[in-house]
Amino acid sequence: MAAGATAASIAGMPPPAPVPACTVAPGVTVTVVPLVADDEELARAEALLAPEELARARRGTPAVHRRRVLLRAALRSVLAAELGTDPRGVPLRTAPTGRPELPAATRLDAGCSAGGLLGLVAVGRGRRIGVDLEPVAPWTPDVADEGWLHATELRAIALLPPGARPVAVARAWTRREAVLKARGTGLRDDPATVVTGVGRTGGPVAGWTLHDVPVPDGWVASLAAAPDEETPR
Amino acid sequence: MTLAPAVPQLARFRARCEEVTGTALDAPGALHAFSVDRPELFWRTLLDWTELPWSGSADTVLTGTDVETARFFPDLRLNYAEVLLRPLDDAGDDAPALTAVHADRPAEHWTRGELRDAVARTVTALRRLGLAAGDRVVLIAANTGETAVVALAVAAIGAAVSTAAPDMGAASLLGRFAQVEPALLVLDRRAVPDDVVGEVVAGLPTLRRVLLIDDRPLPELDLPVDRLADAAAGAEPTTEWPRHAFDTPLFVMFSSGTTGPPKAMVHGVGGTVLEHVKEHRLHVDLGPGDTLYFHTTTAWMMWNWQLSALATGAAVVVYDGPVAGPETLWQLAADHRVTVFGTSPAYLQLCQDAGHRPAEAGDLSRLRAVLSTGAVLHDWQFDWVAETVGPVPVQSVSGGTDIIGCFVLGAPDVPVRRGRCQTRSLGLDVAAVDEDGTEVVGQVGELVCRRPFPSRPVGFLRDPDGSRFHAAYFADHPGMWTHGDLIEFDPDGSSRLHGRSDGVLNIDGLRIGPSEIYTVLRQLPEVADAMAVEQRDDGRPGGTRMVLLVVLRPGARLDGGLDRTIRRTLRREASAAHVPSLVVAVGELPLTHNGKRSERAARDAVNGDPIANAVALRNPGCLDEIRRAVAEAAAVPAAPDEDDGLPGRVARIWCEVLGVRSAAPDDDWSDLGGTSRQVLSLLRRVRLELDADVPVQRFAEDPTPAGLARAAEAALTAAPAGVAVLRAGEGRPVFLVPDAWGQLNLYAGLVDRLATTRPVLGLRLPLRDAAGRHRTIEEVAADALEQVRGAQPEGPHTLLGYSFGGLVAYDVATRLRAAGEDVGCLGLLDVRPPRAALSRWETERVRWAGRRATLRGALQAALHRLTGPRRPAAPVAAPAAPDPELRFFLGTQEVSEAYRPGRFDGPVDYFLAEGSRAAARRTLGAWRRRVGELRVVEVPGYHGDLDDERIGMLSDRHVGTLAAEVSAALD
Repeated sequence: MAAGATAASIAGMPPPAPVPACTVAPGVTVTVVPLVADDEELARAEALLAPEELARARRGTPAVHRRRVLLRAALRSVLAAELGTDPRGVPLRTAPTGRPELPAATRLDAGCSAGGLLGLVAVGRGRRIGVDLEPVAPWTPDVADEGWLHATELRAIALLPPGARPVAVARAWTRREAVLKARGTGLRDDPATVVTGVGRTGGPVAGWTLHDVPVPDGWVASLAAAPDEETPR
Repeated sequence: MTLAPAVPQLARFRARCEEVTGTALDAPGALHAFSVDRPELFWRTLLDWTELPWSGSADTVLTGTDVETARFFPDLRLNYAEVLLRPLDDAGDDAPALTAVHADRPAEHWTRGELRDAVARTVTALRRLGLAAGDRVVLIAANTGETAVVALAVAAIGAAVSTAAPDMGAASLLGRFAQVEPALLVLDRRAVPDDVVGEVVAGLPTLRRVLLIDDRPLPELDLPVDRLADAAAGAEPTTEWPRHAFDTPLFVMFSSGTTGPPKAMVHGVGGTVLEHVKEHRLHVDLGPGDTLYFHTTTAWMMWNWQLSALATGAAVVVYDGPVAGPETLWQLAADHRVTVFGTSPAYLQLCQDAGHRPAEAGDLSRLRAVLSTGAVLHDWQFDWVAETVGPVPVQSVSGGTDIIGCFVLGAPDVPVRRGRCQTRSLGLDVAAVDEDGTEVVGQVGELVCRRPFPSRPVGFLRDPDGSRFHAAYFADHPGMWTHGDLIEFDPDGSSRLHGRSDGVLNIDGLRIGPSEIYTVLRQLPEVADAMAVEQRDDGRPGGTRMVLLVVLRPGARLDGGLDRTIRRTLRREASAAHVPSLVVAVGELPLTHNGKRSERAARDAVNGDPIANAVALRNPGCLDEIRRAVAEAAAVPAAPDEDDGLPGRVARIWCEVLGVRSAAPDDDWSDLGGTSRQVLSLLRRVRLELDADVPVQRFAEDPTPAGLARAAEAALTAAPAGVAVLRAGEGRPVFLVPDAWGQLNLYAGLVDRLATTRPVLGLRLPLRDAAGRHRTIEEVAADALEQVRGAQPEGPHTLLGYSFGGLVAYDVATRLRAAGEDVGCLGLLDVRPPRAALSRWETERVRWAGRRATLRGALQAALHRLTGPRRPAAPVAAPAAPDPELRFFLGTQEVSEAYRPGRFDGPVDYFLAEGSRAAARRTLGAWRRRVGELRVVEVPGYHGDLDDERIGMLSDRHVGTLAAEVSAALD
């Protein structure tokens, strides 16, 4: 007979609808970047990148290559609008840790993240930021075993109905990673050391203000931000 | 309590047939033989016996003998809604008819009278909005009560209805419904996004009107839009149920094939009614007092099938929510007192894998049958239902959208044989045939139906001369309906399906049309041609996997890079389900003399089976190459081999987590698309399988296979003996004692499935001293005791150990008792008593068998460790010099055999592997003499470690049962 009703959908991921830039937090603009492009669009995006950015993109598999090109080009375009310059002329660099960096004089900070066919770029004005996007994955008990969720968070997740757990876990993860990326350490800090709670939206964590970023269904994204003068580490 | 009538309806019908024919029909198979040998008498008797309301004449039953063209009851007229909703003797207007269950709101209920009234009002409303007999309606809505009401009202008018699940995209919906040319579109926007609504309406130019089931604000469309509730509110219920000719279109259904757009097939009212009423009453024994739930969406023919059950007087439950977990549907069955529950092998497997025990979770006492369809139901799934659901028959049924019914299914008077469908559908001359169309029994053949049957589609839409219809079913074997499934019948009439005979793949129950794969691969310049085939997966009995044969352009080579590109492109452009398990480069694909690609020949070659249709091929020589290439590709380590030591093991885990086939030592994690979130699952696997705790930060410094291997090495060297948290939790820990290799990874499946909220801790125990000498069980146990006390100062303690680990656990338990502490639970997983513990008589009896087993086992186990658990050990010759792993294992064996267990005054839970039963008869006495009480629980599988070719009790296959038994034994 036809496919079993409980079988997983075999349709590909739906193409995300482009979401215009929005202000998630004061002084921070977040833009959703669909990571789909035909060859021509990809070539146009590649033309905006600096040679070392292009080289890094080309080291990746085709999907990674496309993601890096499109995200970086989007980031450059958003920054160009901010600085009133050409995307190619944006003084964007990459720190050894992989974090995008801008000269202090611009008072701008940037972040990006991608998951599946969706990306995000964020720009903070006078604010240091970290942003993370994650596709919602099914909950399995293995997650508890990965060691990054705190016992209190695990208990909170266990109390949720099973249908609510995947989003809660994705939320907990993106909140953590947003903080680690804002700090500039990424996974050089153990994610277990940042406890962000379950079922919370927004609010302060480890000195950072966290915000939920609206993204299409199937993804979760969070933003960590702090004004430059009080950047916690 | 049982609600099924004491005498199945089948027996009463058989008696009627015996009366009519004057012949005894009680011999096995006699009724089916009568039903196909004398179709006119059979179908006429069925029509009369079922007392369906009809008019016209039933004198002409059948107009010919050709399955493609013969028509049934050309002068008979009936109304689908009237058949389903009429008052019945034991199911009057107050009897329950329909329950609609939702995940997010309370269930709704309709009695038969209420449902008829709702349908009758909707009929008036639809007529007022211009719907007339002969029109076609598209209904896009979830599986709710309103959906059923609308479909019944459309049918009552004599219009045809085509349903679709709301989760389809606009393109898929239009690919189907543009062919239907509907006059009316009925939508439930609770389940259909607004942009899809707009696109679908724009793409269906024949629409005259749109009707909405939901009560959200009306959208702006260029067509008249109404709310169904408004239209039906003031409507007088109709009393007219006009009866329509037998072949009047009732349902338009779709079936996707290997090529072209989905076929739009039209099913007639008479064929659908007769087939469904026959299956429901005779095969499933449904009637008043029954409650049917069959898990389906509105896009699947089981939706139409379950709706028709109303005609028997049974109540029907529908559900539009998600399956949130293994408990969802069983809970629904318990809550709504379901008597016949239908699902799929995939769901049953999900439940089994999760260790769910439905009968313990809810009251399933009313359940009297479990039906399953959609894919092959495996032997062990029958056992699982028997063990965890109850002693109800499991009926594996199979048929298709094409016949809106079943070819093979259950029967109330035939015993269930595990792994098989019980019987042929009455009146359907179903057989397995070989290439020449000759019936085969006891071997796999093509599923055909050789004589006319009423639920054959009336035809396809957009197929004026019937040529597409002919090509779809009658081209392969002239004069027979060829269904496209492979099946094998036994002489007793039971059968087993063997997947699709055409190119459609059925990978573990998921149907995949390969055309999508080919479309995606067209973007890769290196690939000239490709063919995806299904292969039996020897690693998982009953499982299948996808093998992709590719023909490369001159100059291209299938190296790790191209292999990876193919997989990633498929995953990205199609879905994870479209990614093959194996990619193999071949020179040519098999073609028939007509130049048609023969997926079937390729599949036979890939499986190493005899080629069934070799004479029909233009290039049979290519099959040898395919067979050889696939064998080589499967033998060549697909993932890095474990022979490479730690780097190899690390690389294997790396590849599995990323879904890539090979890894170079310097590959960068993020270059390959690895996310930081995946890092955590990578490191979890490394911890569990290699026992190396690599900190995230350490991985981030050098995110490559080589870097990870170095980090793992460092973690291993530095690993202090101590307690590892295998699973976090609350309360007293459950301690697991490592195996003869000092490792805990064999417990991974058990740890996952233990039904307890308590933490699960693994002891890490050095098995050798500084000089490399194996420490005795007592010495190891002394360490273990210290770790146990460190983690849990006071009893009662819970200890589990497998084999060698069981001996250590036993010794720890005796020491705890000697110190006056409580042991709450001591679980021994197939722990053969040491030789030193046996009486002289026992020693005598096991000596020879024992020695052989030890030597063979030790060698095999060593090979097993070297070659990895998934690959056959054959290519590796027995090591000439004793290798370190074998030496280590033999050392552990030696100290095990020398151990003299003391007395333990408490109870011991002994989990005896089925495969060890014979040996245990001779030796379990050694345990019984020493312990207060030996509670033996038998679990499926072999001991495992020593019998690596057989499936161990801790293997994925059996660990679910073991985990359930162990969970039940926990204190």
